[in-house]
Amino acid sequence: MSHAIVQDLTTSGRLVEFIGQAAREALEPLCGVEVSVLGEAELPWAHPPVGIALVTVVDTSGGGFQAVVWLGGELEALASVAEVLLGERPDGEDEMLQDAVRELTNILAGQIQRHLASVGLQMGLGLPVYVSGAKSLNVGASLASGAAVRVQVGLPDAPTLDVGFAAKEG
Amino acid sequence: MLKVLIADDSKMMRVMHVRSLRQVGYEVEASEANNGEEALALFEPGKFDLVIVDWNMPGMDGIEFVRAAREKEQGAGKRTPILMITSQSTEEQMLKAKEAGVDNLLTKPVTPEAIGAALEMLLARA
Repeated sequence: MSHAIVQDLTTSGRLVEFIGQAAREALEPLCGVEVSVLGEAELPWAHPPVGIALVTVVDTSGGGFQAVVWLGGELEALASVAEVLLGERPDGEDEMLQDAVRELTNILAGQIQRHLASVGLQMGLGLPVYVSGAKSLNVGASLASGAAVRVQVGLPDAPTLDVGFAAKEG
Repeated sequence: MLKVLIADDSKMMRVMHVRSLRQVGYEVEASEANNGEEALALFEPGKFDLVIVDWNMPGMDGIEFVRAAREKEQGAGKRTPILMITSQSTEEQMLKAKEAGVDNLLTKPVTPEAIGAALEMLLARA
């Protein structure tokens, strides 16, 4: 039942809306700038992002799906966003950068959780995990029930990030 | 000087919480913990003016910490205000936090102003 709702949200395009809204709600207050949704992200990636963080999502409304929320981007884009949050630019893919990306993904997952709760899907969130050099990670494979959007953060170098949600029956 | 215990597995969030408190005018002396166990080791009744705690942390999570901290306070005659700042945002989760002993819950992302307003209310009540 729950998985059917996710599929319906995917087909109707509402999931894309939810993810875009969640990205703005999470990033705009933190970065203090406007965030624009550029459109759906093309997946699987032709050029996978360097850094990506995942939050595992478990359906708590009676079984039906397992899912993952992710945030990914090129290293420079992630560093630009992290710099605003930390007050200093991370040095490469260091612990500071990974911490910032994990936490951002966690906040995004919370916002997506809230939107999905509004249509009756109760979800529990796992701890965020950072995956370095995500070339082998193909989260796009399960987008039959899911969606991803590309957003641009209104910082001087206009970093772009991909945010997504993908579910499978479980 | 506001003595604050901040328990969050994200260093970034710990830094941001201290920065937010200073931004809204508080002088802050912060003790930091990476998870519930570390926070509980630092927590003593009356030692802190405020506890800020995350929910999702590896090991002992925020809810378990709050329950244990409230138990430690039993009989001490002191109740430290606890502000939970978390990504968890459903009504059910908010109720669970309140039942554990959380005094106020804010959903991430939070602005310095939101933290300031919550703190003012908690300190007035304490």
